[in-house]
Amino acid sequence: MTVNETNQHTAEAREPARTPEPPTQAPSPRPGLTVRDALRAERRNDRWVAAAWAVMMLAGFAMPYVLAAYPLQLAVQGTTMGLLAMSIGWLMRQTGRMSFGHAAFYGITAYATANLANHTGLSPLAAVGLGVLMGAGAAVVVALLTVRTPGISFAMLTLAIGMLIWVWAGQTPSVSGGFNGLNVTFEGDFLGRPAAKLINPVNAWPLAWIALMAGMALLWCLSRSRFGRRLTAIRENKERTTFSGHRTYPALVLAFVLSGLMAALAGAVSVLTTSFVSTDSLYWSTSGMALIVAVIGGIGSVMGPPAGAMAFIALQASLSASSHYQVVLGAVLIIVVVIAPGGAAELVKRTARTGARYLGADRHA
Amino acid sequence: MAVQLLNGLAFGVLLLVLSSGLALIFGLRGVVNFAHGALYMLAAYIGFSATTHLSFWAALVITPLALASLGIVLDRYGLRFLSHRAPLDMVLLTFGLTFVITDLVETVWGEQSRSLDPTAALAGSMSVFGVRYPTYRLFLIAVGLLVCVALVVWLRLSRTGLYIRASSSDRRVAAVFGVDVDRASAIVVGLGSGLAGLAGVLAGPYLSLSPNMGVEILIQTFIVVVVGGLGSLGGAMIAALVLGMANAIASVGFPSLSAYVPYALMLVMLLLRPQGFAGTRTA
Amino acid sequence: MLELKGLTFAYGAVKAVNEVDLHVERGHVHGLIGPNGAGKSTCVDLISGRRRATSGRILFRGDDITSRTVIWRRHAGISRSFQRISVYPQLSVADQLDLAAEIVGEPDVDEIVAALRLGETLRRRCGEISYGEQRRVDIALALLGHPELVLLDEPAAGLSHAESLSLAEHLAALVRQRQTTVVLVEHHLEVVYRVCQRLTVMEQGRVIASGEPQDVRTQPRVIEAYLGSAA
Repeated sequence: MTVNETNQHTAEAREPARTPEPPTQAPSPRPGLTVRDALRAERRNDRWVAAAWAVMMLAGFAMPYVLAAYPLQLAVQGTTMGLLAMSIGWLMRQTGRMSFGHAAFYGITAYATANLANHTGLSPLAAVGLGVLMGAGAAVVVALLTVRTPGISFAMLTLAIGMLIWVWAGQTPSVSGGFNGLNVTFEGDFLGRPAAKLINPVNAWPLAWIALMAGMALLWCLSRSRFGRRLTAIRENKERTTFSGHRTYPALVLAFVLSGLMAALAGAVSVLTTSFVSTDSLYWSTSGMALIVAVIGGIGSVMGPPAGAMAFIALQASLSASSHYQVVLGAVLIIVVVIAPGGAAELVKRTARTGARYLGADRHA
Repeated sequence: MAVQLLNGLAFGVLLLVLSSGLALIFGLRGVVNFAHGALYMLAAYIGFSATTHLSFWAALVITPLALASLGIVLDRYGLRFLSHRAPLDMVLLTFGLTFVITDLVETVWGEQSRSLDPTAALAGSMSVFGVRYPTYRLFLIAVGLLVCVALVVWLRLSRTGLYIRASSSDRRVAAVFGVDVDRASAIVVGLGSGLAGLAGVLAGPYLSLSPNMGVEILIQTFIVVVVGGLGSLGGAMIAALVLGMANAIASVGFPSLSAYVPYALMLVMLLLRPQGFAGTRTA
Repeated sequence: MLELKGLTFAYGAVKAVNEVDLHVERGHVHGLIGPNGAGKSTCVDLISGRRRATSGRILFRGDDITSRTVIWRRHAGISRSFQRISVYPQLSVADQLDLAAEIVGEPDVDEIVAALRLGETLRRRCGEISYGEQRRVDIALALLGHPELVLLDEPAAGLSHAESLSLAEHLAALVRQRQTTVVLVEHHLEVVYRVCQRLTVMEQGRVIASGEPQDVRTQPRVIEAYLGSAA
């Protein structure tokens, strides 16, 4: 059916609202556009996003052939930070909650994996698996405690919990390596290759890239699922959602845990690709920086935060000699917040929409 | 022990001055000002230069005034335009400002730590409660307490104070009753930044100066403001002193646990009483 | 269907709802009217579970539901709209109706969409449509899932005279067709007289009259209470 046809129907149907004479017979005539049609129209852009993702996924594997070792090393760092930024950005978009505590899940996973690999005979894969489980387990505990608290108090609660863990790590050098950090010796294979060799970016890249792309796909699908829509509803109007018969607490806990799981995954990728962990990974500014790059990249899209992270790593590397990256970063952040809320992703979306309209796509009735 | 308590009091008073500014700004603008630590750090460096070129007493006057002007500009050309935005946007804006200020300070004054000796009149130590204690710290305690008492009295008794309290409790209603809310905001953000300025100058001869000093104390300040009840000046004042004292007592009694104290305090407070121990009111 | 027994709600010393007894018959549209501050909206809050009663009981289909949660009541068949419109401004109308429909298991959202004339708004965000349309979305959200009892808190507030009457007719037709019981809090008396089968008048937290609309409207006490302060 065409959208034009629908419009005529509904325009007629709306007329009676203006006249005091009510229609006498019930049931009233139905306009052509149904809820299902409207939803389908909204989802029409999704296949383009999915296609873009698939192209990007494949193109990503070519990176080691294009980039030299140092830029590739930076790109691996970018995926790690991108995963963390994505987890924090997704939580913020879906629940309106800003977490300063995700560094804890990131750091706990990295430390757990490192200690398991160093002190037990576990294979790297098992160590990483257990490490991620521990990071996610910590997320469960934090979620149960904090998600009821809205707004800035939530940010402060997660900050407090994250900092307690940081203090503990700083005071427990046997686990954390103190302020010098902890070197990890992986022995054995990880997914068919010697884990110790992952420190070489050429070996690390496919792993990091797959993790990022899988995380991205997962969060994107979640955002579009019924669960994702319910989360959006809770963020938008919690009271109404309760009065629509939906329990908000379990949904928020689950969202936080999924996001924490993604942060744990970032920690796992980090420790595998660097063979090193330091207490800085637990400090609140690790969450803070990830949050900032997420906002610059745009939290409205799952692709935004990783893009922001990549851009940040590149910027930091290119300006590291002059050490002025802070002023650039700060200025970019201010500009994004003031004139382009929604970040780079929103700008791209708007451009794409304008382009689509220009090409005559029937996006809007 | 008396020395430890005085140390706790000195740090508590520093937090008190700093967090009063933060609490005032939060109360009126609803902004959690992440740049507050950076403003404090900037003030410490301005104070450092003013002291070396002029004198400490000049720095004590000039720096808060300079920071207050900066605050007014920040409100007039920044926060006012974003006042309809989500609070998280404001957080990010002030976050961005922190980076800019930090970079500025590193460019002008360099990245290394510096220290400042108290002026001759305040050097040395005095005898209090039967112990010798550095004169400068006693001076810091006295000035800080005096300023905060003056602030509370002014908010309670002056007309402008009334306007500020009215605007903090309900912007719209205050505006309806003819309060110039924008002017009240400019005053409050100016005043809050000025207090950060004062804290910065006072901190100079007490702590060492480094570009990181802002971030380090910012978290403590947040804790004070959260524990006191977001936006509540009285609550923040009590919380600052409590936190300073708790730090001092813990560092003597259980040195290994003292680093946990501030965060644990904030965690317990937010879980048990999210509105803080004073609820949300200004003064 | 619904019975309130000695229902009381106090804010400190002020009793916003004071010993209210009310009986709502299945299938009726039951009007709840009275001057501002009479306690009508508080009654709706108590029945829907938004506030907890200080004392008294609420019986729904004979069961005591006084201490049940909002969510339990919604799934048991008590639903409400809000005086201050409560919708999702950033979601499209279709999205929010579909979402709410899925939670409560409404098979035919389009019936409600058609009855409330929302077809044209479906693809637009709720924050972008007119006030009257937002009002109808709010009511549509309340009607999803065939609730047995719908509490409408001033559905005509902020609408023009013509809009109010039109909305009242559409609503009346829909609830008759779906056999929904309605408690209608409304200031617009013409709407009330057109659609209500029973009427209860409240003043200062107490019920001062109850019965058939034509009987109630002629009682001197009602005229005094209502016209005395409203006119």
